[in-house]
Amino acid sequence: MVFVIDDLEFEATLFSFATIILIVIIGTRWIIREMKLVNELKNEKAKTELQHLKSQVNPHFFFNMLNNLYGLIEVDSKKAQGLVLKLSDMMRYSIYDGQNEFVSIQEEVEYLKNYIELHQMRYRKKIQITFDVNVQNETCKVTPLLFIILLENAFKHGVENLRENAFVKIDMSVKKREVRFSVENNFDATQEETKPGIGLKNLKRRLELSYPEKHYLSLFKNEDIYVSELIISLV
Amino acid sequence: MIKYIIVDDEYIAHDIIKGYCDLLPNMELQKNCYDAIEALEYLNQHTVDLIFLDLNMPKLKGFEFLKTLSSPPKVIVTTAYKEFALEGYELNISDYLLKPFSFERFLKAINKVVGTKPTTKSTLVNEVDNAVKSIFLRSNKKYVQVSINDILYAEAAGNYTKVITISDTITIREKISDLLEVLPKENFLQVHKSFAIAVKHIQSIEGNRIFIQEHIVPIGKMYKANVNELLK
Repeated sequence: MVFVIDDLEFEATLFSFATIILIVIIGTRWIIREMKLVNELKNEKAKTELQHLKSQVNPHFFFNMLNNLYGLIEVDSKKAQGLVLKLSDMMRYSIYDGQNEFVSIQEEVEYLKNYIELHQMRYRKKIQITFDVNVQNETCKVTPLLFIILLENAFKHGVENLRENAFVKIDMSVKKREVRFSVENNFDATQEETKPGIGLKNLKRRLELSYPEKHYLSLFKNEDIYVSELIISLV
Repeated sequence: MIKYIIVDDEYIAHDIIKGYCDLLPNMELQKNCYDAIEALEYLNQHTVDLIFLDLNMPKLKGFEFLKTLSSPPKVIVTTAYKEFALEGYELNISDYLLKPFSFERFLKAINKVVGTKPTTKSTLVNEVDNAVKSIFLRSNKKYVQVSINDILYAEAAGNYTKVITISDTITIREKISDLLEVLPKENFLQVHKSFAIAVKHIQSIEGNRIFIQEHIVPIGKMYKANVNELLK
């Protein structure tokens, strides 16, 4: 048996083979390009979503502060001046630096400190606030305005609702591989529970977008104590 | 005398309100309350004419507090929250001040309170009611208490308005339309772009002129119909 391939037939096979390869190549390229595009769009979407979620300072806080300022100007203008400086630092940070992807940990700490100080002068009742910061990693950078959400909640659901003996205990430790931030506060247990607010929801979503698989958030309630802890892995 | 309390958890807010009230005659602070519980305790023993009420406070929020009062006095809400105004008016508050507020704005709120005082049930007896109604008018740096009964007419003069009373002429830095807002509608009538008169002080009307005591007030073309209503 002699197996003869006719020249013409051979050419036809070759041709169809080449066509298939060509189609596969073009097809793969097209798919890769599409996938890239989709990915880019996804990134873009995540970015806009992040921008959108980035919290601005609570407007009521600002207006109440402006009211305090208004009253202070007459009584104690020196103190009022100090307040203006703190308030503008906070506004600047939240409006401008807050838009950056990353900020230095020192800037974040400064912002939290200003927030605490301003709160301390608001009320006549005594509030016990401690803020322990331990920074071992000076060059650490983080996504801005994440921690403030937990602190804001401590004031909103704790301090503001208590008639007396309110406390807030804040701890921050910044190491080479991780940042740990925790807030512990007491609250009025007799008051009806409020649903988790938009603040926490936003925080969770932002963590998912900025630190996927690299964050740990725990919220813990016990009688009249609330503890929130956020750990961000830097590696 | 208007007896008032301040309910606010921020102490500087107290200073502001008290400072404003001290500029006015007849305002007497009874107590500073730093939350609504404190206010409730006080009101259980005492009565007041007016409460300055913040909304966001420990334990009992402002409106919840208000709902617990069976016969609440006049209430002026002072808050940084813009979004609760509607709810406030449903609870019959006199005014809603957004922090920070100016003295002028504050005065408007006070005038709404004194303009409707006292809150007797017999509001039908308008005449009796009017006998005690008065408002504060700001003239230069002074605040003059004027009985609404004594006002003859008001005349617009540029950015100012002249208020002519039986015994006096007071010039205030306010538009005539703003003034008319705080005066009881049923007693005053705009008869000219620049003139509003107290109906009961009219002595006679002749052509396009109204005679009030020794004063003559013109009637504007557009307002002629207003005046004709009176003559029906």
